[in-house]
Amino acid sequence: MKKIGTGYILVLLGLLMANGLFGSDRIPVRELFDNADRYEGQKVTIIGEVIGDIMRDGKTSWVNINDGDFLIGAVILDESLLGKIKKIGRYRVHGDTVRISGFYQTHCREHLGERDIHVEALDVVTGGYELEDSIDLYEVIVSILLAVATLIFVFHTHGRNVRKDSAGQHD
Amino acid sequence: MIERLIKYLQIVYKWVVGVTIELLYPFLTFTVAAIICFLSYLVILIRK
Amino acid sequence: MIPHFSREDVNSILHYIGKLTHGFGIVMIVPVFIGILNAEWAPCIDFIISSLLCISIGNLLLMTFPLERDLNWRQGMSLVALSWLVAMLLGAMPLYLSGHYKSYLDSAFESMSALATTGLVVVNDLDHMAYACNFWRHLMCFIGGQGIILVALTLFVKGGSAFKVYVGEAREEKIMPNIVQTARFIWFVSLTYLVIGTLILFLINLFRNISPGRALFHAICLFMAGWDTAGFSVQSQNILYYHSPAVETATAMFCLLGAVNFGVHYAVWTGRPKELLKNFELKAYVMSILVLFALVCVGFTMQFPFPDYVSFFRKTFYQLISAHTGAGYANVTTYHFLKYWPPLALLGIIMAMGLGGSSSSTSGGIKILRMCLFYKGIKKEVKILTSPESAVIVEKFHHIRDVTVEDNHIKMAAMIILLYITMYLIGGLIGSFYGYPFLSALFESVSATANVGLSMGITSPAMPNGLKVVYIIQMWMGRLEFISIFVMFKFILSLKSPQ
Repeated sequence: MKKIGTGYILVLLGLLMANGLFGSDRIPVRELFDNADRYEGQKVTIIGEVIGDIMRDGKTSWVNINDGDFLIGAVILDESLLGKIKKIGRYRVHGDTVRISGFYQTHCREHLGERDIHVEALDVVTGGYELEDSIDLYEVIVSILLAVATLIFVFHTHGRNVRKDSAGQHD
Repeated sequence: MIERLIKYLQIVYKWVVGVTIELLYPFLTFTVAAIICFLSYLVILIRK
Repeated sequence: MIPHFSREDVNSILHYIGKLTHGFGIVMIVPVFIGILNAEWAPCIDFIISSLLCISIGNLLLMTFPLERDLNWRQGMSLVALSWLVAMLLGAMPLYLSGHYKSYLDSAFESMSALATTGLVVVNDLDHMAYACNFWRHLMCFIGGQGIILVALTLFVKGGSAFKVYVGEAREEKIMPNIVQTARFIWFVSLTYLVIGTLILFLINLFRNISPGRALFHAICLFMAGWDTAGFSVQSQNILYYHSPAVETATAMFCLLGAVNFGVHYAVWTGRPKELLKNFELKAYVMSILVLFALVCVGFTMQFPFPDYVSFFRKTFYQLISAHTGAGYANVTTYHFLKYWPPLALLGIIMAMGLGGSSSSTSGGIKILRMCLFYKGIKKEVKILTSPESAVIVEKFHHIRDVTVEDNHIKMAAMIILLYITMYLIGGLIGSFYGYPFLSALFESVSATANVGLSMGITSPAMPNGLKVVYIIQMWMGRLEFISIFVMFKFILSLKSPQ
């Protein structure tokens, strides 16, 4: 009995430790801003969409992550992590949703005061996808009608003389 | 013809010189501001 | 006898509104090409609809009010004020059709913010906005910064009317003998720096691994918003998106240049570079930047959150330049302002925003020339009181040419300064009534009226509609410096039917 009980305790401890290995639970970026002091220098995990561009300064790459509420810049030094990002969010493109873990700093000394996360781990949670550029038929009809109206106006005003009253107005 | 060309060249020269000098004025402002900031930083360090 | 506005005044004004509307519709075709280049078909349709609607409305007005007359002062001023409102409503159309704005009011807010080169934004999901739409936002900054009327002057306002509408749009400098030539020179300066600025920013972006197409797009938009001290950005994080001291330096440089009087540009570019050293307004402006920056630094001596000198200089000086030029680019978040900036530093920023840049530049705010006149006025008064009665006191300063300070100059300067301060306070009080902390409300009010665009977090799509309307009015009044708007209100209130 004692051995089984010890076994259960060990398994429980193992599970608790394993949970710690996957990093802390994800936190919203807003939480990082609201309670910056609490997370300063700590390892944090955020989940969000990669948007815009991947920018490089020498060996450092910058990726901006939007968690739906706020955005933050992530610093990636490991090229292999960058290779995991396939789609970046733009017009008609929803970028890869990634989970990043790294050390948060409000004023990063290395990056001249930037608020950033130095990424240690990056995983793609959901791949990005493209959206269709849907054209509204109603809008097309309206634009055709307006084009016709405009042409009518233009031809009408083209034929008229604009008379200039050079006498002007006096107070 | 040559006089016209010289006149246009003079205008372009003044334009180029003007733009170059104007681009210097922000850098001078930055430099003085950097000195002010550094002096404040020294005060902060001394206080710490 | 005070003359009332009549039907003839209405006819003249609406004729020119028709021309402006027509012209605005033609300008809207530019984003269509951007949309075609990027295969953005839905935004193309939005801009085609908006453009055709503007052209149709313009033509309808021209057909209804065909007579083109020379404008007098009240017509010119009213035209300017009304033009800006009309441009706001027209410019909002494609924004609203894009689906990124909660309501037409939000689109109108963004439109006015762009045209008045403020930079306060209420857009949703800017990071997924089409290039065409984003370009339109920045193009409106460029047009608004140059001046809608200035655009019109270069194209179709002729004769005696030209100067009246030019002054109505808060420009007084007659750089060249002819106003239309002045307008064209202003365009020449802007286009010269457009080429230089876009090239510099393009190279920085390219060097940082941004694709050439996007690097160019970002460069053009950043320049247009920077030079015209608007502060709009392609991405929602504003300048923070780039994480780049190089981008910040370049944008700060062009903001500073945009905030210089166009008359000074003319002098320097035509063989008088010493104007940069002699010009009283420019010297006062540089002094103001440095003094207010010193105030910001003193504020941080009491509460210092930065790890080192470089971060300290980078974050504080950029914000001060952004505030003082009226650009509104932010390399700190609103959270940063609220949490880490001491009250004295925030006061420095508020004062910088309130003062603004040089007169006849792309900047907003009270303008440094007015403060110079105010200072000279006080100096003159003190001299008069302390000198023998028979003494003749003359105050002069050099601003493009030697200027003798007259009593009416001082009076006008003092009046406009008072109007700005009143507007700042009224906006701050209204913000407080909506439940926001007074300092934040005052910051936002000054930012709107002085057309800066920095925010303490109040401006957002979730902001009360009433406050959006208040800020629209503040941006409009601040951009046109009140007088033309007061003339327009008198026009509306005193319309009488023909006898």
